[in-house]
Amino acid sequence: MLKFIKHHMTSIHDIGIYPVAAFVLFLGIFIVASWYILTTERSRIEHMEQLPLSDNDNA
Amino acid sequence: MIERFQYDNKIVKAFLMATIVFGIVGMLVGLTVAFQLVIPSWNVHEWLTFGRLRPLHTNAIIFAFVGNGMFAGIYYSLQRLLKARMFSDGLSWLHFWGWQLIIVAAAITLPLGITTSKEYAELEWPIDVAITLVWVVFGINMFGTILKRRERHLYVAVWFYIATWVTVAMLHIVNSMAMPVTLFKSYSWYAGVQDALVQWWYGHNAVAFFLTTPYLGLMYYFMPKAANRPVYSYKLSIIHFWALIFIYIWAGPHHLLYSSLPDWAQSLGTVFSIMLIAPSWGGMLNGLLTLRGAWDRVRDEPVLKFMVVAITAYGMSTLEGPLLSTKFLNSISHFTDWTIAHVHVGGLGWNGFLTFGMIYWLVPRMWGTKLYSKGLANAHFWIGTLGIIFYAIPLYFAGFTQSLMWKQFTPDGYLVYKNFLDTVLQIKYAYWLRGLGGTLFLVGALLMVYNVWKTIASGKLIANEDAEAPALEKNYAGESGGYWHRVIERRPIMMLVLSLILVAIGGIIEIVPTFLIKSNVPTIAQVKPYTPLELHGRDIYIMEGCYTCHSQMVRPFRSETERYGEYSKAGEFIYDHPFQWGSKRTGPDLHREGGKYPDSWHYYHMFDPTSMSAGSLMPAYPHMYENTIDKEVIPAKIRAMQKLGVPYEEGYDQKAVADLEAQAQEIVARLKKDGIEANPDLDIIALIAYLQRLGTDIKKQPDTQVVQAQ
Repeated sequence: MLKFIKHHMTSIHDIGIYPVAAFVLFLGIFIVASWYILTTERSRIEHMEQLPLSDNDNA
Repeated sequence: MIERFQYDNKIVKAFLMATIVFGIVGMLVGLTVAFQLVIPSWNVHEWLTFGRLRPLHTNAIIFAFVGNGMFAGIYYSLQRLLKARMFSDGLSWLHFWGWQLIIVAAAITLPLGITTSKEYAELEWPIDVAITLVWVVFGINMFGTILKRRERHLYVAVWFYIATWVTVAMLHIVNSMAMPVTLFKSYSWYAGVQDALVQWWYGHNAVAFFLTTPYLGLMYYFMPKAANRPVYSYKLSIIHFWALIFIYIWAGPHHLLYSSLPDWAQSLGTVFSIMLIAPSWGGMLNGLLTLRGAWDRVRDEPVLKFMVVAITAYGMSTLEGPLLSTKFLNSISHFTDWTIAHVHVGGLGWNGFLTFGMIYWLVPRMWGTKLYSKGLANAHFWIGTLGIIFYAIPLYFAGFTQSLMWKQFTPDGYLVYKNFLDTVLQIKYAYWLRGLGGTLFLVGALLMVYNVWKTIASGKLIANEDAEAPALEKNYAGESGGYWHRVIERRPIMMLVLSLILVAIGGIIEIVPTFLIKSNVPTIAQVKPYTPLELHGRDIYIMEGCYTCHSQMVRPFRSETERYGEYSKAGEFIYDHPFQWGSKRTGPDLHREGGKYPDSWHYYHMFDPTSMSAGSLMPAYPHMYENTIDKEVIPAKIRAMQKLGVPYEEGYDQKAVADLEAQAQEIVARLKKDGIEANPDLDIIALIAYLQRLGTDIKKQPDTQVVQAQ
């Protein structure tokens, strides 16, 4: 009876590629983002993080 | 060269006022439905029953309260982060009035029963089109502002706004695809399993990209403002952004665990949900740690109090969400009030409190004055916090209690609580307490209304705030050794495209297999399209919002097959445009309802539910005994279904009404045997036909035969 709720996907060609693609994409984005923040110099980050505080607002 | 310009505060004011007004309205409707659950007589009119008002509550809170709050915050912060006035005042006002008109249209159509029944996407197709147009106006206005900015680099809050815009556009369009029947009625393009997957891909990401990402953008702007110090770690915010938007889009199937959705997609949803803890908590810590060394200021600054609780609530609900996505906890929590408690920690805590904090911060500044009363704001904070606690904790108890009662067996292997109603009456106390919590939260919000009113009265709106900034160099060469991400920070359009690609990949990989599946779902030979009368009855079921309290998904647990019958199979839903699996059981599952009771039982029950089950909390539907079946639209309904691939024979639309009348006569004859004289043209007859059909197809032959389609 389990055939009604399981194994729907097994007949799809190369179904395994979907989870693999998901994993590779995630890992890739994570590595690239990490690489970026690890190689960014301090001055840039400081400029960016001051942006909300640097408007003409009387905060 | 220094340029002088003015920030537009008038549009921010308009969105702020709309936030407050619709916030109060949305909470009032929420309170009404909360009490309707314990006092069924509060379902006073056909237009005001629980099933029609609950979608109004969720839509009002999500799109009117949080939506307007989001726009107020974005219009304020975007101008200042980019050092530019909004691209076009005309577009700003078109956006504002367009959005309010959509809200008004929702407030009229939902009580009238004009609904698609897809949760948080209930609005019918003409309103969906209007939403798309207004969203495009908002997008042009935002990107126009970004293009004429005077600050070269885009702060992380702006990335969150861009991701919000692009993803909501994609979700809304894909999920709203429907075949119109009339101006106020349409059928979803998708059916059954596929419709469920698209809907919860949307539903989950509406939470992610309408309630979360824009508010994270606001957090990254207003938290440093209120604390008067930069965000704890800007680097962490970059990781937070990319990881969050990428992971979120995959997690939708966790709403369908143990359903007829393929195992593969269920597991994918679980894995990505667990992974979500990392960026969510990264973001929460980043927000809270912004207060490093300034915690003492939280004591006397109500704005910070609201923000700290908001961010903590964000952390709590984003830990709870992934935990509820595990199959073990989901098997306990799903369909119970646990889910309701979970979403309200997010809704009241995260969205509500962040909005309140933002309002208390913005109003004195925009009106050039001081907050009328810090004491009142503090009172609001404490009453609101108590409200959240009184709301959530009883419902956690209720969810757990009810779920365990559903699953409890006697030593002989029978259900202890065979009558579903027993498990509802057991938790009625929690519904009362939840009403108290909601009342407290509303009282707090009313204090805010008064406080804001008095503050505004003591100042004058700075409608156009003067500002100055150097213009951007025309021919910018870029810094030497620039990294790719800096290029993105300078190129908003590239940012837009990259975010779109990222979320679209997630969506496509998740959804494509279910489109392929169409030819792979084991088709069950006996499953046939609905008869015209049943189809009309199904539309009444949708119109009354029955799905807000009844599921149609028997999960493969012994406690459910024992109570309801055979578990639900994907092949049984192939003609369900839209699917009606539901997400909450305040009443029992109805997928195997067909044939369980005689027609006369339903006839009495719908007129007065307590006549058949004493103490029932279900609303009565006397109007179904007055309203008659609109036979004129039946052929159009059949034709729409045919276009969607439902195999009615060629030209059946012309025979449909005759079939409908014949079937109605059969039901009337059966009712007559039980001593009921009924008019065959009444809506109730169609509803009975639908209810009696539910889940019966697979019982037609003793050995269920499986054929592979195509």
